[in-house]
Amino acid sequence: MKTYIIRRLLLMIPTLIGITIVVYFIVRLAPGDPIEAMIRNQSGNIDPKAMKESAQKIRDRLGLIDYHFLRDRLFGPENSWKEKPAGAAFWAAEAADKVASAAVGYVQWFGRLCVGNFGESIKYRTSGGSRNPLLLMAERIPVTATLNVIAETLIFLIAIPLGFAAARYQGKWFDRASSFVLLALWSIPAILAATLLIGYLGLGGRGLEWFPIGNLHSFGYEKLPLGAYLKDLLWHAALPVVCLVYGGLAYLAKMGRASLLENLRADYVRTARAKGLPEERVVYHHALRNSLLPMITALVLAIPGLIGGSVIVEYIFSIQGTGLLLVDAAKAYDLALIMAETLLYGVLTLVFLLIGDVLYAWADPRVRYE
Amino acid sequence: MSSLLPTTEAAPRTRSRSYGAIVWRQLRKRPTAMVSLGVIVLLAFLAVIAPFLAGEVPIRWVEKGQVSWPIFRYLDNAEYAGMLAFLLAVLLPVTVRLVRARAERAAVSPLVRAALIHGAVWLAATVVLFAARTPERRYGFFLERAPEAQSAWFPLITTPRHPGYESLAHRDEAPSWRHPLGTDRLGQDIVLRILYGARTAMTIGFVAVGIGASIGIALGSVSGYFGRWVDLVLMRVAEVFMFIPQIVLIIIILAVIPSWFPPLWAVVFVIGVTGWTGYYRYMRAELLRIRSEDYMTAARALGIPMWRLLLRHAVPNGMAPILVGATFGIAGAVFLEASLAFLGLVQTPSWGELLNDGRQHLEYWWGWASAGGAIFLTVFVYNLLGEAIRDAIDPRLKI
Amino acid sequence: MGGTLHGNFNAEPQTLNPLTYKDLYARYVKEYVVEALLDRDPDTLQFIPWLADRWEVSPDGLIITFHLDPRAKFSDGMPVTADDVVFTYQTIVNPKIDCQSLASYFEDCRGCEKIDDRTVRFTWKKPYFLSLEFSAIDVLPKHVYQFKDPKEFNDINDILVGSGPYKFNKGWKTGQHIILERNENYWGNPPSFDRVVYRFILEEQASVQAILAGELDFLAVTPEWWMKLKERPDVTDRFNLYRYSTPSNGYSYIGWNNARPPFDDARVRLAMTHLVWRDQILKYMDYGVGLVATGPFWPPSPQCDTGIHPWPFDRDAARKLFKEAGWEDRNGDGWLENTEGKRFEFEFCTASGAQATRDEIRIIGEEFRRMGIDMHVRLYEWSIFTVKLDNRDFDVVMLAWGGGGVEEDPYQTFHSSQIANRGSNFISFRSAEADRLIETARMTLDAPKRNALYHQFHRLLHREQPYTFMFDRESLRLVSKRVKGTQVHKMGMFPMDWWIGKEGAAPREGQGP
Repeated sequence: MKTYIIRRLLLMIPTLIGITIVVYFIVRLAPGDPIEAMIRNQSGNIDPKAMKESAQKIRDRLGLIDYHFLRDRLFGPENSWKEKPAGAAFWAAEAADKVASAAVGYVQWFGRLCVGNFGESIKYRTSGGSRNPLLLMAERIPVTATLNVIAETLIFLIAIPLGFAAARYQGKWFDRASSFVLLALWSIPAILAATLLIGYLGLGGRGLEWFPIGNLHSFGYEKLPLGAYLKDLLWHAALPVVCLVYGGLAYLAKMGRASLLENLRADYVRTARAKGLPEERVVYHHALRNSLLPMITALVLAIPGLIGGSVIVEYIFSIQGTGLLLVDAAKAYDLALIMAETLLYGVLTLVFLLIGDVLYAWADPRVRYE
Repeated sequence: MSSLLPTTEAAPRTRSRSYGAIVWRQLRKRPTAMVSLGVIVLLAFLAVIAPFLAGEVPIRWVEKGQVSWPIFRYLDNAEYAGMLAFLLAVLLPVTVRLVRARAERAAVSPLVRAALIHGAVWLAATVVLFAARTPERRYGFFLERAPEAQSAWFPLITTPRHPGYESLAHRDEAPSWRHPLGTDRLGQDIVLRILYGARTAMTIGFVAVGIGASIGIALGSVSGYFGRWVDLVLMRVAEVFMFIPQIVLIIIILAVIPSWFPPLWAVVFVIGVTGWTGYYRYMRAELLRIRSEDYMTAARALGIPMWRLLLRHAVPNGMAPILVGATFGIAGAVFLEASLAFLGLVQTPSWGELLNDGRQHLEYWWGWASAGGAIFLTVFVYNLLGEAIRDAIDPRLKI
Repeated sequence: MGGTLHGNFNAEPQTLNPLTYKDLYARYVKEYVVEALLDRDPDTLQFIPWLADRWEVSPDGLIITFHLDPRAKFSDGMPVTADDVVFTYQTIVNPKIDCQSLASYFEDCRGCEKIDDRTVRFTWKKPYFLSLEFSAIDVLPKHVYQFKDPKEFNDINDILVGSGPYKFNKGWKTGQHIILERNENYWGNPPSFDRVVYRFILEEQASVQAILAGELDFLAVTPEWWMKLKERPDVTDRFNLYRYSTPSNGYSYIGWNNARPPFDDARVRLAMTHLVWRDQILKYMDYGVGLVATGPFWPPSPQCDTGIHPWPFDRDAARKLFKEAGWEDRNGDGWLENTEGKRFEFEFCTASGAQATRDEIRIIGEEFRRMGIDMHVRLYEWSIFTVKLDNRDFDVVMLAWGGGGVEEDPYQTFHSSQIANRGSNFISFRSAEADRLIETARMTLDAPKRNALYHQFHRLLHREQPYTFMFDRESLRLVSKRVKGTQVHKMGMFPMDWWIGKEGAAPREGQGP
């Protein structure tokens, strides 16, 4: 087992390097200059010379310099041109330069990463003023995680008993009906669900007006005592959590049902029945316990997902979470932030995949890894 | 009591059923599966014949004694290709039967051979079409000139194909006889938008998942066949692809594509190229599992080459979970498209766009309810089908 | 007096640094905290004293002297002195400080010097009608913002200190809100609120529901919501609805690349304008909120020639102009061709922005297609779009200029010298007469003479149509009736003038279910 774990850990390294290289090159090689765009976007008329300098400074700081080795050798430096050269050779030289710059940049990024420097976000600052991507994410993760934890807990609490019940009454109307209903729920697009919830259950809407429709806290929440604070949080989280929960039920319920069914068909259950044990005892005492095993694995695997937010839910409910952060970062070609998020999510998922597998092997002695 | 004497009568022939046929038979017994399949076929059909159902280009036009069929001039090459694809897909069972009648035993199942034949026909026709024909694109003035025509067969719902100044005056109208599902914020008929949105949904669904599944099957087979180092490397590659943030890739690809390249296909491409890992794993798992079976060892000992065995046994078995994954994948792709429209990234006519439009103004319910309902129905039906297939391939249910 | 005013921003500002800020919302916040040397009367549009209670402009317009109000002091009690003004000026023009757009206004300024503790003098190289406006800068406290290394200043993003009626005391909670507190030491009229809170509700529907639920006091809405809310008695009972124009709203336009055929021909541009049915778009897409624009000037501004009427929607006039310019359907294929048989087609570029803009383009494009013009729409991400603009690599764009002050200098947008070097004249409009008018007008200090020149310029633009001017936007505001003093001035509405009335419920705060 130990060698297995070590081998898996070692194998993670090339995967992670691969992921970072692919993502880095994609973002770096994409056309368009995020720096100058950002400056221009936010300031309108600007002196071109000053902007160039400003952009260059930012680029140095962020390790996003574009080198022009090949182009300079073949066509001369930029300020010596009378007019911009054209043709396939020029295009090829520029392309080669861009790839080379990206490669240099990646090495730089990797080097900085090894000493713990994740770079700087182009677009964002934490409320403390830092541009460190890790801190940026750290600011948002608690928000997303809170919602996800509540949602996942609810999903587990609802779906697993449902799944087990469906297996227990397999083939009867409950099984068919629950399967149908859960599948139907899963098929409702999140945008629609969120809109309907806001429109008909939200304050200021057209219906019952029971729940707030934005943010996770009322204004002035810092002053609330703990009990009231929690109540306020749950009240705000109600609608977004419903959006996150309704679709996730189907998968887990199916899994629970399949797991229990498999156990109910197993030999040891047949033996128990043959022994004359009452059905309830057979099911609840023996089969259920074993059926919970895959659920635990599912739980472990769900943990990395806790830091990933749903863009749709976050946008519609004005929640500052990690989902929105990634999408905005992508739109702004915010390299440092994209890399940090990808890396974090990759590491977490791989590690928890390993933990999940190990846990499964530990719990089920029939499973063996060499 | 049967005679113990040898007879000249040959033993009754038992038809060996392929795995696929068994699954199909199981599926036929389930009403939900059949209804789902029916709805899917219907949706595809409606998507394909959309211009005949709603639009401004007449099907038949008689002016000054001259008969013409304008709609056929105006149909895009891609639309013809789509129609052909649908037709060929529907006729597949016929070809399968013909192929099977001709050659019972072959390495490759009749289904695959029939599919390859249809695929080749479609490809050839499409290439010819695109090379030889340029569709008509100019403004037709048909609606305005209708009084001048002696006879004009307009589509079922006669409405401008694109919104313009005139349609603006009819924005946000409630459902009526003229517009059974009302109009949207630019005055466009909603039935038209739903029909054309169906195309986007079908395209994203089938093509994206098709690409993904193809890549996954191919790589999975390679992994399973060669094993060892090849497998090790490919697994790492799969893990890398699993972690590429799809959204990032989509946003960047959309920025890169040249102006003549339709953004929808770029998105389809990205979804396909990043979505193959699941199928890869199914196929690989199946191949690896089968390799170690006894009957495989026996067959190898008889000198039958590995590739033939894998093709005949492993691949068809591996297809089953892939099929399940594919149906859920299509459902997921339709959802993804809605999210992309919500984020404002893609501007193709789609249900996601229509849903997003109506979001801010719930009282114009015809728009978002139709779009939401369409998405829901499509995804639900695919999910039901996927569930049914999954149940059908469960060996314990086989009789 | 007292109470809290609750407003909303649709997006969170990036930084509150009073010089390097780049977005609209940061500016709103800044205006509560930082004051400038002069202000404009919201109704007469004339300059009125603010931090400076007297000022003199030399007859040649080159020397501007400000005398600071002796009562003026910052929120920490320190007086506003000439040193602070000079410090602020030097920071602005410091090339290492990240506010190039602001600094560019002072290209022709020789400097700002302290005459005595309460007097500063700006010296300009050339007479310029906006010198006074530009010289009346915001004044930052030197003792708070002084720095050794410019990077220190650039990195400041949540220190905002000034002499204004409100102060900012670390009240920015990312993702939640910005809180401003009353400045107890304010040297002028006592501020009316104890606190001003701006929340960040990004979604419009959510923000509307928030104000209806009583969580906000005032809100900017889009025309669509405006129309709906206007009709609801439950809304009009509790809220006042205001509609007004303010110079910062700016105008939208279609920018034709004047250097590329076919748009290098003014007849073609005029014909295209005739095909844009602005009245229809305004009526149905914006519910009539706004005005069809005819030029770059704010309509109430004296620079604007209000006698100019927009070109009407006229297909026949357009066809005639196209024919004159050589474009007609020569082969019956439904498309316009020129004498060489080249088809009239072009690419319309826009940055992924508001849905409304994209809708407008679609509708307009359909009309072009009807006329026989083949238009392709291309949506670009902002970063690529700006590169295209810089390189003049486009056929047509749709954009908008955010307005600035009451009087504007069209130099940067329309003068031919601004075509090169990525200046703002990216449509490459070149007209010797326009150049002459612009150059003369900007140096004319006599207002009536200058405005006459601008009227001439306005008429020239109307003839030449380098842009097809689209709309001057109007602001729409919903304000709770518990807020008093909500007056609409010529220049708009100013929350700092409001106060909370005695009756009316306070918004929900920290309330649970």
